[in-house]
Amino acid sequence: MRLMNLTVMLISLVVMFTQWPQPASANISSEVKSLILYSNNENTPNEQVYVLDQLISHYSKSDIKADNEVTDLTNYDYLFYIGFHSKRLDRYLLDLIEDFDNPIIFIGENVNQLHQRIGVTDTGSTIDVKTISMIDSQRTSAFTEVKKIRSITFDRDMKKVIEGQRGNYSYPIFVTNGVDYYLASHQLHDKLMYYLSTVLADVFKVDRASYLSAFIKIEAIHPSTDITHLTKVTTYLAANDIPIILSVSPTYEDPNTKKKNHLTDSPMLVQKLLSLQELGAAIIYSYPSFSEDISTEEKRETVEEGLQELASYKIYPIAVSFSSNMTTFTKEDLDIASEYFSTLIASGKRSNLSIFKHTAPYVTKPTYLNDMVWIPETLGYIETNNTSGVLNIKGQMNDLALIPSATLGMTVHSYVDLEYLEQMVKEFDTVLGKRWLHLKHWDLSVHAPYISIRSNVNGDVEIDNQMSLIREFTYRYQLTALEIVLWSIVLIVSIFITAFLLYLIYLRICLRKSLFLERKRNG
Amino acid sequence: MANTLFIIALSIIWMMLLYHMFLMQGGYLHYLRYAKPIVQWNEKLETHLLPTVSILIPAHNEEVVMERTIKAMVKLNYPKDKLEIIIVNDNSSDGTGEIIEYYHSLYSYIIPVHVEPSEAGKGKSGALNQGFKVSTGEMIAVYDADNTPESMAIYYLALAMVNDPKAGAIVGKFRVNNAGKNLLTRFINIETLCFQWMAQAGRWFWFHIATIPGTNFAIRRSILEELEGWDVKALAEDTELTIRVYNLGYYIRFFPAATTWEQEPEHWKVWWKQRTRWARGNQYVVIKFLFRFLNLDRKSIVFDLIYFFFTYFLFFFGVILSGSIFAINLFVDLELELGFISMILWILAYLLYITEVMIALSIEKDQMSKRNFITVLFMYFTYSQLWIALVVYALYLETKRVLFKEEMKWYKTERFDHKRP
Repeated sequence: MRLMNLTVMLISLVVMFTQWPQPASANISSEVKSLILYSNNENTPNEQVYVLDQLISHYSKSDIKADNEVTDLTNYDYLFYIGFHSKRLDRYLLDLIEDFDNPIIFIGENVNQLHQRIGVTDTGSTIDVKTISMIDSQRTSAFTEVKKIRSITFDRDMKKVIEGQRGNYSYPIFVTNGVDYYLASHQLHDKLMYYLSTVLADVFKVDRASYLSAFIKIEAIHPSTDITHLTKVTTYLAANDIPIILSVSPTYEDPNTKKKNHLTDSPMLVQKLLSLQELGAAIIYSYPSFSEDISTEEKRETVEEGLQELASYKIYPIAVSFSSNMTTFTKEDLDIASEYFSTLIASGKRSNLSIFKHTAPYVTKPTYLNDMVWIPETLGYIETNNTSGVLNIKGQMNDLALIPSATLGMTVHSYVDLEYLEQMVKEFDTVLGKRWLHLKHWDLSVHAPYISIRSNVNGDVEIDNQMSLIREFTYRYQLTALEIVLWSIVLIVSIFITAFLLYLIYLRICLRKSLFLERKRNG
Repeated sequence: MANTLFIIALSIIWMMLLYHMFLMQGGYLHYLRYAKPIVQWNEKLETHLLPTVSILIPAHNEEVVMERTIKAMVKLNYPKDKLEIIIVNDNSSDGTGEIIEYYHSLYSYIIPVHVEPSEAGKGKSGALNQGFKVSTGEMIAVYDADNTPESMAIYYLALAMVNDPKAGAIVGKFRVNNAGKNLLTRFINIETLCFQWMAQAGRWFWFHIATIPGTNFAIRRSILEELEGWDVKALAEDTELTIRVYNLGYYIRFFPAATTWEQEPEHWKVWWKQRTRWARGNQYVVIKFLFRFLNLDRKSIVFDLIYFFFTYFLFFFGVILSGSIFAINLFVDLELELGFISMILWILAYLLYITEVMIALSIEKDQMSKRNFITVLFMYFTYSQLWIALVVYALYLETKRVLFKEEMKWYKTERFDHKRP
């Protein structure tokens, strides 16, 4: 009880002192428009196109087109060209590009054809580099595997922004003439992603000095969660002024018994979540891990039922998350999630889905997520008292700290010993200029049949709950249609039994009267 | 599989229980209302004339009860010039004939009909047809030979019939005069009260349906003439007649103001034989009409036939199924998903049963006793369960009869002489 009171007090304090508004999804602007133009054999966007799309989406809205699909560039503020193979570009297209009034970021092959505009010459060969560094800072990182870059020379009006090294030699990776840019590799993942993220701030003319945001998401909260431990975790977070973000699954299937537990089986958890939510904790919906044979419709149904089940207890998730150890989700799962949620909190790192597995260092809104905002878990996760999921936290934090408006996001499983969490929080504390991310102060929305949840920058959460009483009752007690019928019978029969008992009392009272009447009738 | 079967059983059982709950509600309301029109009807009698009445009493070796029955008939409060009491002596080998003749010599309106041996042995229907042949009344009333109607019984039957032209027949209430004799008669007493206040009064109240019982009812002569009397082939001649009356477009009114008292079996063996006959009779009727119910003009009676079908086939099946699942589950875990709620439902079923029976008992002025209450609690697990065995047995006999084309035999319920020690 005392612990509970302390939690309440501490959380109230956190809420009181951290009411500053957070800009929703950082710099994402729907006014700035970019075009990603790609040349490849398949004429369909590949993994790297999507990485680019993801990175750009932090700053602008993009269209993705193959080089043969473009007829007009007038509506775009930026043009990103990414060439995966050597190809003679159409004169018409080259004219369009050359005449483009706004910055061009040219990536990979075919830059020679645009020499009039970008003073870069591709020598036709490639170089394997092992490290990457930023020219204007001391920042250097090693690639996890050697990175193949185009060997280029550049004109005098161009300057080197990023270079790669092999041995004692360095090679330009990213060069600019102040307006246009050239990137010497179309393999954007790995460390290049972070470097590119940094320079994109310059490309989009955004102040590099914008702050970092940080969050710790508590995961694996479900009807079988140890409430005492969860209380310890949330109390600790509150005591350290860390906003509480809880990823909740309304159902939990015991792997051994295959028995499905619902919220109704854990009233303690419901109480806990309600009080935390009341005190400002952000609840997010943990997207279920579906087996392969589940149909799209069944998936949708499960998500809707999950949201409705939570809402029937007045627990209102404001975003969706993919569990950190979930590896099997598909593009379809992303599509389904985007139908219901405006915001996703996840790490793509362990995903086997190619378009999703490269996580940008900041908040993005990639095209393939159908306008869903992705808040990345950039630091990995701690699970089962083991920090192997944490990606070299110190180094990772340092890397991220250099990226404008980067997100330091970590997932901690609800059952992990507090000492690990404490250790991680200590690491977080070493990052200067970081602000804890207050999810509830973002403009987020969740829509499912009968349920609509919307949070705004003031931290208010608007709920539109149109669920009928019967529906709420059904979710609260996890009733099947048959059980509803049977409980209705119980109700009706109980009413009748009560009525019959009243009749009996009445008959008893009337006994004398009826005796008299009957005697009279029978003469 | 077990779950599906259990759900099927549960559904069937609860359909029946809910229907009966609904009927009990109607029965209670009918109890509150049935006597209300009596005053008005009495006033109207000045313009309507009381009908001439023929009472038919089939009697086959009834010397034990005959005299008492005739004495009750003589005491009937009905104009004697409009009354004839036709006692059909159906080939009795005891003193029944003499008793009838004796009272005939005292009261001219008691008319004996001695069925010739050649005509005899056609059961109750046959005897009633014999009596009907010599009757003259506009209204035909039927009593069993062991009945002692209350003095106003015939008057009330006639009153209701005169005032309700749509009623083809009026059915009165019967009470058990040997209820206190032993446990069996106490069970039967409770059962008959429930039947009348739940099934008869309830169905009448909601649907204007009642079943003609074997005794204490009156039917219009015109209807019997149209139907050409009773169906001698029917084992349950009353159910059969009910259906035929409804088919002519009339209804049957349950009017409990007309009361008779009758004797019920005091030995289990007698009870068993009587009930087997009823069950077989009803099974026969259900099968006979169910397959051509589309030809029945009055659809309301179809509903009642379905009810019989439920009682003797589906409900029976449901109970057997549910019982079997319960028994198997004692030894093998069938992983029934509805364990908890089905327990609650079971408890509610029991409570419902108790309250329903208590209402039926409380309606009668002297029946709501502590002794009866305990009997009711106990009855659920004993007497009520015997019904299952009875239906099985009756089904067996009926199946055998149909398969081997056996002749139907009419079993006459044995009477008990209370004057004997």
